[in-house]
Amino acid sequence: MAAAAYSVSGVSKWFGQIIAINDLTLESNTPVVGLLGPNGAGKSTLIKLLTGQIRPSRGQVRVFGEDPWNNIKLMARLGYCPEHDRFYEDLTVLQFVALLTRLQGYAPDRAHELAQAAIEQLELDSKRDAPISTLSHGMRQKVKLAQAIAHKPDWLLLDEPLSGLDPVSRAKVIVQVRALAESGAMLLVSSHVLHELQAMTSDILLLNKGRLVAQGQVSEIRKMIDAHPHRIALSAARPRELGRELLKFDDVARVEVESERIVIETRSPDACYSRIGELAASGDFPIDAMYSLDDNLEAVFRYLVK
Amino acid sequence: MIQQGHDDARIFDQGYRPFEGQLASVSTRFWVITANELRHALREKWFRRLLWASFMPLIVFAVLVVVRSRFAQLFDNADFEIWMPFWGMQLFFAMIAVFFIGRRAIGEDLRSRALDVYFSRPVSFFQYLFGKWLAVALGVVGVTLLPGLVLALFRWLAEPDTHIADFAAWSASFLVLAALLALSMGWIMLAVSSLATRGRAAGIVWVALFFLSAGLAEALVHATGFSQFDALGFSKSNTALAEFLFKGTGSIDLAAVWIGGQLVWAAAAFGLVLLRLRRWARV
Repeated sequence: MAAAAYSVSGVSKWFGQIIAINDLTLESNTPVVGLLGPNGAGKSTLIKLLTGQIRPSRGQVRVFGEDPWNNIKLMARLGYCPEHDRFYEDLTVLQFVALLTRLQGYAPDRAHELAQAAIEQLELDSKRDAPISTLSHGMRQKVKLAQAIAHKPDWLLLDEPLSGLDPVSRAKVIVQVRALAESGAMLLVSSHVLHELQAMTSDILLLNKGRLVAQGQVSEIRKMIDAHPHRIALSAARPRELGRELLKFDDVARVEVESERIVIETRSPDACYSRIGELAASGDFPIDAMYSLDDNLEAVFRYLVK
Repeated sequence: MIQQGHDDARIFDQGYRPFEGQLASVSTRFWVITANELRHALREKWFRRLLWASFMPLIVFAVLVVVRSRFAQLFDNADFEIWMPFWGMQLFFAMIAVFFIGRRAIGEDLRSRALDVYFSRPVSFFQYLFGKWLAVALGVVGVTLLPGLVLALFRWLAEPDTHIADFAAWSASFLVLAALLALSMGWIMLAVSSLATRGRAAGIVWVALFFLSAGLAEALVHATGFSQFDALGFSKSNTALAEFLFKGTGSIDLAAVWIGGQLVWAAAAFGLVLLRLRRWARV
């Protein structure tokens, strides 16, 4: 097996009393990897550790076999797309991308050419001379991507590139990220939404509270998630009677009755939703609201961390 | 990479290909930051006007030099001293130039979190700081040293009784004064900018600091009679040093105190910047 493109060995990172990365060990050679985790999981911290922007409090980080901390030579090979999108508001898109490309060491003309090419690649031509302050959130995300790819890095690290985008812009950025991956770029993309990452890559790293929860193919992780009971909350006028009725179903594993709602656990969520629908339609057990407690990533992590 | 196909057809690889050409030396990356700061400042109409205005004293004093040399009999016993009023004006222009270039220098980067982007690039922390400082320093030098040298040259050429040694002495004095000013003003402004992330607030604090430190120094000198207190004001100690260099007022010991005062201001401000940016200080 070839040497890992990047590895993190026993790494912890504290910010004061807060631990952002907790004794993390991983290595990967996969060209395109999704970094999945809820807010505060340590995704941005891990990316900053890998790009050499911050130094681990403990442990060792290696990128292309080198310590990235303050490693100017290595930084030239990386492309970093930060999570936030507030930069120099009065620079135009071209000026901004060219400025950051010049910091890579390119001569002004060459930096200009590369910036122009990146802008075209991300279909930002029409906004080339527009000040960043006038751009929509979606456009700013593209500007971030443009500055990250302009100098043609060996490894692109994209921190929440889809954050806050509307569905159309989201789809476009996904297409662009996939195009980058298909063209041979090595990528690490972070997100807190599983299906977004799934649209870009099938290999993911799951991070929670600074720890690695799972690593591998999305399909495998999905299987692990599906093996756990799914939780559904029901708001009903007579929760106790409804609970008793639901316990008669084979696929309901557990029922918890609270003051005005009941929470059920099932291993066959689709079948269970269907049965509850029929029950509600019968009129015997009025149900005011029904919602899944497991649609968010937190729930997935809850299962995996248990 | 080329794939050979039928009938000599070729499919050219469109894949990702990192740049393999020659890149600029890492040690000169600060210049990109300096140029960006100056470009940013030059976009402001009032800064461009200030640059023009900063050369007005040069014109006024050049006319005075010509008038005096042509009509020497009118000024027979008059004390013809142009350097101190000239330097006083240029000092004021320097304060405004620093306001324009430096007030958003670091604060804006902190506010917009551009530092994360900067430091994901092959740019060292000290190159970043040096680049920022150099932009402010060039502004100071542009409105103090440059007109000063031009006026010194003009005076040497226009006045028959001045020699190249006079020109050299004046030039050296301007060089020392401008260098100290660039050091102290540059770092103080960067420190203020790093502490007050809003450009306007940083600008107000800077102007207040300029006048208050000078006022405090002046008041203490008047109250105690000790000229050493001039060192408490970075602009005041520069003016006092200018008097020593151009008029011979004071002593070499006092001059050392005034120089020391400005260096201490610069060092303290530099320390503040380091403290504020310690998270990014990759040392």
